Amino acid sequence: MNELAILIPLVLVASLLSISVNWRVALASLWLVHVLVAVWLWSVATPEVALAKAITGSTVTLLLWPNLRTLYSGTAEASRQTRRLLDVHGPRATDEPFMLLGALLAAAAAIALSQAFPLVEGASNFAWYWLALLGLLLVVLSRDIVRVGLGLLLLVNAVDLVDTMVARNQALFAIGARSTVAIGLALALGLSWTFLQSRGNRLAGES
Amino acid sequence: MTPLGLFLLIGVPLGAGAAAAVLPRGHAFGVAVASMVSVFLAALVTQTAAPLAIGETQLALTQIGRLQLGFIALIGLALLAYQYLAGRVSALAALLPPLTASIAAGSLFGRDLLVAASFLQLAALIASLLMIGEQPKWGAGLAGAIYLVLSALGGMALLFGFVLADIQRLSPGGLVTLPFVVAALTVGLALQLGAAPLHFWLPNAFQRAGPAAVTLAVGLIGPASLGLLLQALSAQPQLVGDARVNRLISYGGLLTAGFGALAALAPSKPRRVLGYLMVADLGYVLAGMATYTRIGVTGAVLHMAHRSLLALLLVAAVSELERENRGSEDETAAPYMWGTLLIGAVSLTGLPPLAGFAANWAVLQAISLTDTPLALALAATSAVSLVAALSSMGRLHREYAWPWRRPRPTEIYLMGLALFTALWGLAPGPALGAIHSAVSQLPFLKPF
Repeated sequence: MNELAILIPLVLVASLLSISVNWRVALASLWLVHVLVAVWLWSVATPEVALAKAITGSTVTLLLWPNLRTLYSGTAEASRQTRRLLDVHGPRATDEPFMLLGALLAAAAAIALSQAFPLVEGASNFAWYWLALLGLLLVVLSRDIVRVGLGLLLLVNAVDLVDTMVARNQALFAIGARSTVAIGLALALGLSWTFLQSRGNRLAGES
Repeated sequence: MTPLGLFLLIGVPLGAGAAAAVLPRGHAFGVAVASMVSVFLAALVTQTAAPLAIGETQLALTQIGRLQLGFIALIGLALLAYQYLAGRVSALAALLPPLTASIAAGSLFGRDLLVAASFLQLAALIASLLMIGEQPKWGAGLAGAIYLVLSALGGMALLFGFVLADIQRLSPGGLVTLPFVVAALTVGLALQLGAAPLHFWLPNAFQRAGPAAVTLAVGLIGPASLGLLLQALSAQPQLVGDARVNRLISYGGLLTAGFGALAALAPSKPRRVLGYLMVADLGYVLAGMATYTRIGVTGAVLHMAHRSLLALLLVAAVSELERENRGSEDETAAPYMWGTLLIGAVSLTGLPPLAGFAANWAVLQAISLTDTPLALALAATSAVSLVAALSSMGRLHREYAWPWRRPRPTEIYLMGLALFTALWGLAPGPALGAIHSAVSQLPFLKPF
């Protein structure tokens, strides 16, 4: 399979994930990232690894969906309140145009790094560099903990990719352990979002 | 490892966690206690067992791994006893057994470091879940979310570091150099343990989170992270080969100790001060490890065990003190918990002849053999920590009218724990001997 046929949609979908303000688009993008990484793994590693990635991605998406729906359902005022409650860095940490610029810079950095510093020999390093940089960007610059969580899940994919490129034939334990971590992370993230929102609302109601 | 050992180590805790989730409080605690006993027994019965092969994977427990699991089971038991006596309602009984099983599973994969790191990350995720849900306050949830993000980042850095280590091993002269691998692993461990300047979650958790979650994050995940480091260095001894990098890690330990001690001096809430004292204390673990000598690593492991006990003691005592301060006016206040906190805080700073000094001494001895100024600077940070601890305890002190009321069962338990934590150092032989014997089998150590 042509690598570009997977890389171009992966870049587009991951960029969409980093800049989207709509939770449905973000979640759909996250699922597509997993699927595209699975397709990539199918071509460079074994079908078992690819299948595990696709199943993990679908499970992660299914786990996050009810939490995100609960967070962002309701009136515009309720959504604003939720955003305030989930702020970690404060309200002026970053803005969507800045994230777009950041995503473009990450893409340029990923291209440069994959050519100047190809860690894995005999493989395309761009995909994992791109996912790792975008994930780090989301974790470091995002204003709310939901997007920080999405950044972490992108980072998990990046580590998965680079590890699979180094050791093409993964043992069953390795695949299972990493999938469990991704699913556990999604579960913990979803619960933390819901807890923070429900307690914050109670706090706002009491004051 | 035997099938029975595997069942006691993984199967029983997983089943106990599931059962504790649906049982009433008293039974849930009973089941969780049984699972900790099971892990402790497994650490004993697998002493002479050969590796267990499952497919191409060899599962085995090293002596230091057994020691680590036995200690984690004991800390788990001590935490369960406190939570039960204090009448606290939390998900601890359901979450502690799977967390322990996850740590145990990681320690079985001696050569497969990526799997071991994944299990450690899973354990940290479970601890963060408890931190998010243990206290009803929004701030506690936020502290849990911060721990979740930073420990997950740390886990990811560790996984990436182990991938880099694989690349470096496969092509030694390639782009990936040893300092690069060590840097990635150091960032991961610093995030997991709370070393400066990546310490942010630790004072935050001490200030806002519940006692059970803080104990899990500091007292169980901490030793497990150190265990993973020992596993990694045993599997890839080339990582300790660069003397310049080792020196930098030693100075990183000094930076952590100095930063934590100075930050603890700043006027702040007592819980936050205790968090910074914990950061300062971590400096000894890092500096001891970076010597890669038998006595230094023994000191680091002993120190980690001591700080795990103190994490439980300090956070439980401060929680009980706050509970007393919030209590009704007609109940007379008594200085039991204040005294317990004072003993714990002073023991943490290593004031002789308390137990903290025994834990510090081995590290200082190892460092002084190669770098006396570093050892002196590290000892000086302990003096600063002591001043910060005493000043913070002074601010917490209030008037206690005589006669004092009778202590509650929780207070008696915590005072007993404080005495043990402060005084075990008077006879450090058994603890030092057991750790020294286990550490001596590690293949990466330099000759004394």
